[in-house]
Amino acid sequence: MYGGSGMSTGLYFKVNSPSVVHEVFDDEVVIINLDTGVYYSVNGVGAEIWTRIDGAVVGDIIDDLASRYATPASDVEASVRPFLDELGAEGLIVPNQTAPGESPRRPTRDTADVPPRLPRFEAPVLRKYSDMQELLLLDPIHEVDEVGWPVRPNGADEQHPKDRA
Amino acid sequence: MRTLNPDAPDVARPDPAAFFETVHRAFEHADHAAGGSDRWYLIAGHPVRLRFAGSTLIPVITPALEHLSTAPVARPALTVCLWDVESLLPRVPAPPWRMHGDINSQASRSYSDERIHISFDIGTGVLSMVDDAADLAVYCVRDARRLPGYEIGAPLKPILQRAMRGRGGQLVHAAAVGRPDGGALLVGKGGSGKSTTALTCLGTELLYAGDDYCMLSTGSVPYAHSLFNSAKVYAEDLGRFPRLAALPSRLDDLGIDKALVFLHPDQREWITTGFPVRAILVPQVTGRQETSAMPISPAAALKALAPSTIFQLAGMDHSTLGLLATCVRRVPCYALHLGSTLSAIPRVIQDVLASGGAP
Repeated sequence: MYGGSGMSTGLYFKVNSPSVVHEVFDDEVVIINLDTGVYYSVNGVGAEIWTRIDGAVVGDIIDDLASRYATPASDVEASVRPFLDELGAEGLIVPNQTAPGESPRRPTRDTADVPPRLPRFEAPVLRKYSDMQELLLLDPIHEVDEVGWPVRPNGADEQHPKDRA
Repeated sequence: MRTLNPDAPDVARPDPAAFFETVHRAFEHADHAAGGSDRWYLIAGHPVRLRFAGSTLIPVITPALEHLSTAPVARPALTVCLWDVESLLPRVPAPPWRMHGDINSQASRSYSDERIHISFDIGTGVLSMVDDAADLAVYCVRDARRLPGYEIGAPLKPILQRAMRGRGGQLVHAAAVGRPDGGALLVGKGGSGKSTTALTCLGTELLYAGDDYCMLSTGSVPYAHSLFNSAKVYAEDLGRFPRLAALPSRLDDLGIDKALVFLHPDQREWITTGFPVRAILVPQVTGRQETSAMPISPAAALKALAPSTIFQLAGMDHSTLGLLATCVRRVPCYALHLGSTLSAIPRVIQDVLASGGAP
């Protein structure tokens, strides 16, 4: 999908809509992957990155964080790149393919004037919750009757997930 | 029996509206042959007519809804056609699940567009469909005798979700207890303690609006509407709830040993049809004896409410998260640390509600 740890600083991403939905709160972003049944949360620096994902260039994100937290860009980059790798591996972001000649959307506010969320830079962390995944596990091969109605395979146990009862 | 490869292109892709009409005609034939009768219920404030073809489904579907019984009106908000036909489904062409779908799970398949919603629950063998343009729905059961307790205790959910969504309602996976002037939503995945918490409130000042599902109206003040007067408790736990143990119950005949109890009519005084939501509580079982409440962030409450609602209930879509987020932003949210002294739980909830925002 993208270069992983070798990604270009000119690369930009977008949220993998509509499969991924999210809600931004003051101190936390809740993210749900509707395709996998996994949900996530990010806060602090991770939330700042997430709110800039759509349209921002990776290099600009890194430079902006380095400036706001008075931290060497190399230090910021060392943790932001793996974080973005992880977001991509989880299917939460995808490369943003902008047509030639078009510029990526830049944030309209001057982020240098926005106070940082934390007193110092901390590596972004993606918290992952997969406890709902069992409700969504797809059975890729499913038996059907003569006209296409799904039926349980012969001998399959009735499903009794705790949430249904 | 052939095996379906989900990657194979659809061979037959019937028109959803035409498919709805096909199945609805089947109902009309069944109604004409077996005779029919109506029941009326007020669902989230909207009159809903249930048309039963034959009588088999009436004692199966209506008990959970009886506390919402209402008089007939000239123009129902929704008419649901219900029948049980053991051999109907093989004669009806399969609907277009894979044209594009809602969130499909291991247990259900669904299809939605601007007008038609179709869902089939593989576990229960229930086909649910809604035609928004006609305010009409069908609920076709393969075999009423094999309908599991979790469906009998909370029937028609995909239909109610779809129909009420267009009327400002959102079906949620939550218990609800409170007073007419305000109450609490209890949210969290199965096993988190929300049902047990709701049951501890039976017979107290906190009235019961549901132990697993309710309909949330997301206005300026969120409102929780009761849908089902059923309660489910493991048979071995009935002794902890003596008021429940005294009521008639049935053990789930699929062998998971959960007793299904209907609070109406014997204990109708314990039930409320709904209340404004004044607090969202996230139960958490602790090892301590005492129960307490601690404020939590709206984000934490959303993580408890949204995933189980979105992934357990059919008919959810990309906008569901936003609706739920609106609710958690508008009311105070708390972690309810549950202690082992169950009788103390209702008092803590009442204190939270009385405080209007601080425990």
